[in-house]
Amino acid sequence: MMERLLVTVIVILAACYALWRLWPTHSRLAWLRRLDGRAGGMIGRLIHRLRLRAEAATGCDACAGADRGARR
Amino acid sequence: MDAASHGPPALRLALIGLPNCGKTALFNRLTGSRQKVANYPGVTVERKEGSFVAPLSRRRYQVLDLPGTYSLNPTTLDEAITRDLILGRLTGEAAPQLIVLVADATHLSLSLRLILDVQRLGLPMVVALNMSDLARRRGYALDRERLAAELGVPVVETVAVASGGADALIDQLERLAPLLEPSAEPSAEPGVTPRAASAARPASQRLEWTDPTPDEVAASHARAHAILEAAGYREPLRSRFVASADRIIMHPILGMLVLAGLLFLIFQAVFSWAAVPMDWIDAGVVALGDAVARILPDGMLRSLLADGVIAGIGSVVIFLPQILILFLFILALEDSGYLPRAAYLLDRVMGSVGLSGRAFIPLLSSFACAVPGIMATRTIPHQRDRLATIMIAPLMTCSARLPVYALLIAAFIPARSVGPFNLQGLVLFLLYFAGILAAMAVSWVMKLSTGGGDYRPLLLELPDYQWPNPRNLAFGLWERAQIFLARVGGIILALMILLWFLSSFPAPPPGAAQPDIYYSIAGLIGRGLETLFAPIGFNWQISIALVPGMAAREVAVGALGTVYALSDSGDVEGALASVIASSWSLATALSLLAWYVFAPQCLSTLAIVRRETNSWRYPLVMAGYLFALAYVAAFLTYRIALALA
Repeated sequence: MMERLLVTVIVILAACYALWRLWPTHSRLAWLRRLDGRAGGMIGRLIHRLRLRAEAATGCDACAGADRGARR
Repeated sequence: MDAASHGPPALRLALIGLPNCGKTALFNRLTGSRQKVANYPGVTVERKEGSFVAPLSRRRYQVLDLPGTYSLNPTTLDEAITRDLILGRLTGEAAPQLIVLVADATHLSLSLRLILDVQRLGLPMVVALNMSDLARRRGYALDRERLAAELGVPVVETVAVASGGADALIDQLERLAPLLEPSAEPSAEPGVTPRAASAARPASQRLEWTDPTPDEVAASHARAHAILEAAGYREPLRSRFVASADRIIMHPILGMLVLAGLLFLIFQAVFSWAAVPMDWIDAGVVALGDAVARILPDGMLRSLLADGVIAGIGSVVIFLPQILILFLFILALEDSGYLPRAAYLLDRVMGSVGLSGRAFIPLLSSFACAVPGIMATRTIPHQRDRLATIMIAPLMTCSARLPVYALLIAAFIPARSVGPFNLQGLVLFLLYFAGILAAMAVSWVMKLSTGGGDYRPLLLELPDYQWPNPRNLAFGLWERAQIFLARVGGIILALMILLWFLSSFPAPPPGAAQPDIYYSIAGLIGRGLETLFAPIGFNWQISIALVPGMAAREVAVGALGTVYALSDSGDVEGALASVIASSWSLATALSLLAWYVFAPQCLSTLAIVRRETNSWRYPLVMAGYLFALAYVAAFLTYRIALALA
């Protein structure tokens, strides 16, 4: 029984992690920006940290997609 | 507690300068970061931020590393980032309070226009004459005090790649910083002009900038010339070694031979040098599997760890030595200054298929990973050229394909010599070459269909040759190893656990004749997809592996490890390579190799194309044409191989 429970938890955690990682970072970042500041406590701190990590991963976004018809 | 929380107020400074003048090396020197540096322009395409605390004053400096630019009139997206950030035009991004203008001392005259542009803004500025050691060795002459007086800003010498090479700059920053505080008295310090002293302006305030007229540009050039003359500047001599090396390396025929020779050497080494460390890792994985089997009783947890995690992860991690050897060569070539020369050699070829010469560096980056390669297309000024480069970047063989290629080559290509070459290395070279050839062909078709693609010759400053810096190589390899192992321990591990679950449930019916996985959810999916992939020779096990392989290409190798571990009644005997060698035909293996040359099995690449083009159209077109090419290539390869067999 314990073995079955442990394997179930591992599989669920792996599924959550895989979904999180496969979610495109810029879209994940937009969601985190909306959420950041709304929750308090440990969850709030976690969201804030995840947001900072996503920002570091995506860069400043300053010129992403900025060239569509805007230049030249 | 922040080390500088009780120190003076923090100061925000930006490093700007021409491409390849050593800004990122200086950024790394100041902040202790390990941002990628290379001996060619266009490596930094985004702003990077770091900080350091001055040892004496305990003041914190926030440092921005910006893409290289020749002036404040941008011609490319990365140059526009620099201009907009300095002017405070980027939303949510405070403008810098101080500019450190990094000028390559060996080509100082080129930096003068940018210095004068920044001076027009009235921002406080320090000029850092970088690579001053190299310039001095080559006999340059400059009255630094006079240059500072002519420009009205402090000028210091730096050697970003040497320990202590930024000390003079830090000393200068420490002298200027107190004068830039809001409460500071007006100062006569060079670099803190009356207008600049208003650097105490709110960080959000935008600076005014109007593009100079042609007359103003001409006047700026004349002034630059006059300043250098007044400062007694004598351009360093060009190294005699560089001149004679370039006569061979950039020769249209000899140069191509050198390039081909180098590539052959790299691919030979990937197979020849990696054998011993790969054997060690393999032995470690087998020992770990045995230990788990000994310790845990037969059951679900043992199957998860042995068949799911160890078999899957072990199949991928074994390729770490080959990846590191490949990157050792790439990093050494980057650092040596050879790569821009290779770009010149290939410029004509690229131009003939409608690619801009500037596409070379992004395409080269795509050999590591298409994601930074696609981001590096921001250095391409023309929209059509940029899109063409983005669309073919995934055809460059990224490092994630290497485990797939290496597995199939090790399983099906004998390790024997063909003349002076190792046959396995030769096949690997041909696979890389096939990707390049396909990219050229696609670009040529795009050129024909869009009717565009005028030849725009590559204009790029050639850096000097230099011995690769062992520190850079070590950091670069460490970074690649970290990236690879983080993927193995992160997304690949998670997907292997999920695949194990999907491959283990539901349990087989009583009296089942096939292995358990055949009746599982994964088996069901694999058999469903087999109908689609049977014409190209893929069995249901390969079809299963292709699904998690969409997340990243090397996941397919781990998935094959797990699928074959679960397909067997007992543990997989021997390495995955020998298991598939006995289960597949040569035609199937060649077909899978052909599939992987083209298939866009990487969601991150499609996501970054969506982000960079701000449209779903281009990633969808990319996925469509690459899957179609992959299927056709695999079909032809399979059928021809069957016919010849």
